[in-house]
Amino acid sequence: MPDALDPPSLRRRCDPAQFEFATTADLPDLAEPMGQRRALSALDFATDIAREGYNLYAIGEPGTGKHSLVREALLRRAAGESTPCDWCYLNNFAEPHKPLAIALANGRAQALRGDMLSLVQALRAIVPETFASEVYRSRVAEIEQGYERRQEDAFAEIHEQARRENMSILHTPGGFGIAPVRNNEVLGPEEYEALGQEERQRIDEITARLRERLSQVLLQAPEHAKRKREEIEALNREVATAAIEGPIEELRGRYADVPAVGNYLDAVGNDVLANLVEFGERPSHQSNPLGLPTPPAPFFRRYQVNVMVEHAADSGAPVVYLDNPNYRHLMGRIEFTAQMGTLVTDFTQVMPGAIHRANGGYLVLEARKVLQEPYSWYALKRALNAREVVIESVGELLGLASTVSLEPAPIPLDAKVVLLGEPLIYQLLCAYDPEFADLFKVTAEFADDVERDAGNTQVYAQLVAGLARKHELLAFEREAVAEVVDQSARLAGDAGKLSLHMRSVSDLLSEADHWAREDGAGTVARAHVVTAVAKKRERVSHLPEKLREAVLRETLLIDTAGATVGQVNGLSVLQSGAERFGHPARITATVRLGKGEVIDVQREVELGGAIHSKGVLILSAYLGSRYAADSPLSLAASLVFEQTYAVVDGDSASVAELCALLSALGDAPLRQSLAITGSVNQLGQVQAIGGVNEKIEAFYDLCAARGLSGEQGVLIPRSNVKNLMLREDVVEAAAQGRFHVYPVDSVDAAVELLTGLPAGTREADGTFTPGSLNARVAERLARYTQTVRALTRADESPP
Amino acid sequence: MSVRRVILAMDAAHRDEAALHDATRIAAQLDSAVTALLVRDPNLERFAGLPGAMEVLGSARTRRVQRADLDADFARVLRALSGRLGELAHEARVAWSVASTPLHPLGGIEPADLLLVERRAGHVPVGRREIGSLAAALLAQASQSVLVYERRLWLDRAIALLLEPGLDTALDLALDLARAPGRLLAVLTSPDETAFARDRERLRAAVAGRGLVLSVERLAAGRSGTLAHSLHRQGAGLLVLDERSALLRQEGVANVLETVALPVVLARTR
Repeated sequence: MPDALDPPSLRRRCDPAQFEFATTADLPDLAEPMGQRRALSALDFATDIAREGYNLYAIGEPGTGKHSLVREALLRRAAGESTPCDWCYLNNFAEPHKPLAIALANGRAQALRGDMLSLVQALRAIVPETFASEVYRSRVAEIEQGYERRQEDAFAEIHEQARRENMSILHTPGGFGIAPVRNNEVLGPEEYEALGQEERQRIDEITARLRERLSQVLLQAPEHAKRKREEIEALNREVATAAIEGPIEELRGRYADVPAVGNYLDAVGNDVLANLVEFGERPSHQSNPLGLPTPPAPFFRRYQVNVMVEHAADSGAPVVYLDNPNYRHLMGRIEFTAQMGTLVTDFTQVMPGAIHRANGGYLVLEARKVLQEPYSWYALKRALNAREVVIESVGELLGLASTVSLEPAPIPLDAKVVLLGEPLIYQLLCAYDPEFADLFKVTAEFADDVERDAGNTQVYAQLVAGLARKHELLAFEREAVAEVVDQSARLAGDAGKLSLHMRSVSDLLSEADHWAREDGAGTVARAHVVTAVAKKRERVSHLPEKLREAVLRETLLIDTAGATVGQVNGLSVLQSGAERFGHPARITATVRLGKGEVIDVQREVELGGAIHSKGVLILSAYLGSRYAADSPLSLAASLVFEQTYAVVDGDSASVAELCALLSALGDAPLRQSLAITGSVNQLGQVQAIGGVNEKIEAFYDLCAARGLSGEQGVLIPRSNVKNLMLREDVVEAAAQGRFHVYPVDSVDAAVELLTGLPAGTREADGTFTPGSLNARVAERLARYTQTVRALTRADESPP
Repeated sequence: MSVRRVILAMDAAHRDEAALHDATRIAAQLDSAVTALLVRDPNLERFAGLPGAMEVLGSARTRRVQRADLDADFARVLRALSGRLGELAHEARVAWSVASTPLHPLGGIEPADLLLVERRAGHVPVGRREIGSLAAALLAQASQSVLVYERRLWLDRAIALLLEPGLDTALDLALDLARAPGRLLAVLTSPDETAFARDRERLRAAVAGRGLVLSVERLAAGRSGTLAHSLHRQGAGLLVLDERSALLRQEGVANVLETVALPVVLARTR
């Protein structure tokens, strides 16, 4: 029968004497992140290798600090790298729905924007001045007068012809009239009637002739007007070209090293010439009443420069973290404005996404968030595969948009993407997304704990010092650091490990700092760390207390004294939000004659998980192989987690269930002052489980509430002893002999402790030690077998 | 006497919008009202009364025309004038009206009006040295000052004044018109240097306090060609001169208008 563990085994204490500092203020920061060398090495590799698909997936549980570690490492690296170019979108005058993307050396995109604004302002001043000039007016007048003279000459000829015939050409509201005159006055109707027939006929003939000639002249008028218009347009182009050439050439010279800008300026010049009428009015220099700059007139937006990405000179490569990676934030978007009830857009409303800002550097994303946002993952993969960024709406992406929108030119992508995520998501992506492995060829696995040895303990003190400084906390005294180290081991769930779950450690330090400040202390002492732990436990202990109260009021039936056949105290771990706590659970077993099945009631009612069912099936195998290797197992047993109303999973109760079964079979009462946890294999060996500290503390709390009898305790797998980091009060009770923790290796050891009977060993004749529990179990099973055989024979006998 | 009203006289052929705009600007500048006056040539009435009178339209098509058609056309022109002048006058904040009158005798003109007429109005075709019948009728019949222009008025340029000894009628009008551009170019035909100095001082006194930039020069030989050269050199946009000017008497209105190639105001004593 195993002995109870001694107190030092229940909690491994950090000795403050091993620290040579008084407070963490004496300690320097860590030179490199603790325990993450492998991950950082992977990060270096991923950033060093300039090959397609070598993006990084940083694996680690939430709170391990991978985000800040990755970010800091990338920022350090990016600072020494070259600054990528700026990108801007410009109007495509030939195809306005396909804006042009142009790369410029960093800092020059803004300069181009300013230059284009200045150019347009200059042209809006120069063009009207040019067309208001005396020279231009004279040339227009010359053209107009030339055509008018031609028409006048033609009219003059007709007029002279008419005059010779005593006729006159009159200007009517709608055109011209031809009438006979006498003494410079048109003849009245009476005078006309008074003319002889011959004269009237002559007048009619002349009128018809003149009318015909007049029509010919008028028919030429549209053609003359067209030629005049063309000449004036040609003149306009000539004059305007001369006027705008200077400013445009000056700008072209400034960007001579960027051929794309030169081509763009060619297009700008042609567009200005084609739209001279828009430049006809001088820009207003009036400021608006609030003194704000007046927005450019709608027409002139076409000459704006939409700076998508700009970088300050020598600012290094960008490191962009996108917290909300929805499709628009990630890939950019095209915005619209409502005009007269219609949504319109242009190249100035193309907005960049994080991927644009990260181009030439690093983009850091949370894998879970990217996967949660519709189409973000798809778009990201598409950009990485194509090595270019295309901005389009989700509607277009899915081929659902029927309206004409913009198709901005793609921008070449040269960025490393770092995904941060849990191992589960990594595994799921590997399993279900065939492209994932090609695009994220490097993994950086972030450790969540580190070995608790002397060296690491010293380093951990430095970690505490660094966190205290980073979060502007009070300095921690060496005793406080020792307590933090102990709590870190508790967080790791292992006395031999230190937790690297930075969020939890930071929270502990912050809360200890709070209580120290409440005390008015200048440094954080051990007591403040202990208070922080206790207060936190108090804050989250509502549910465990309610459950304990239910037990104390015997609503939930858990005995902590006495002995009962087929009934044992198991221990479970419940999760409530981020907190988990242990809880005792009564497990009962009943046996009867049967066909060898062990009924897991939890499974039958679908309240048992797969792992729990596996544990129960192992019990059957164990029973059969150990007690009925040569004969049928004529047993029907049922196992129940009493008063549980939710799914039970895990196999940590399998040894308890086996003990209950053996108790029922051997008719041996089990001590209710003990609880047991552990899984069992087919050979009867007890195996390690999780949450051992919470489980022991839960049973201790219940026993302490009822009053410690000195008989109470918990049986745990021996392989879990190294995980023990029990609370001080539990350790103290153990030291006083009022509570016990027993390590067990086998079912036999467990039943001996629980029943007080020897387990018994198998003798040479195949039987177990007489009087032992195993012998009683074997006998019971043998009786069942005999009964079954007798019943079978009776059934087979002829009536 | 200040100008109370600017009258833009138009016939059926000359009713362009630019002229309406310019007339409204001048009215605003002179703090006066503006009127578009449609002048009906009696020859048109007689023509429309002829049996089988045919009109050749601008499109070269022909149509029969009768008096009723002519009346309808004039009514339509008046409506159009009324609509457009109303808009322009509203923007310029001046009082406005439209009216119609026969050419002989001209009606609806008051003593304190300034008449505007396009030099070729009322005659088809018009030779370069000819003046249209409407412009000629106004110059002959009206006792008010007449502004004769060709195609456009350039109101943002300096106002030029030809000031001849003993003929001060044009001075007040020139000073009023020069308010907008703020520049007055005075060309004096003083017979000698002493008279020129005296006339210049008199002019400076008249201009004082009006906020005008004054340029004065002496035109020794009173020929329109020399005058035109001087005016164009100094960027004048309009010439004001007394209708009794020796220059006009010597060269005739049509020749002076042709040579100067600027809008000209013939100032008259009212």
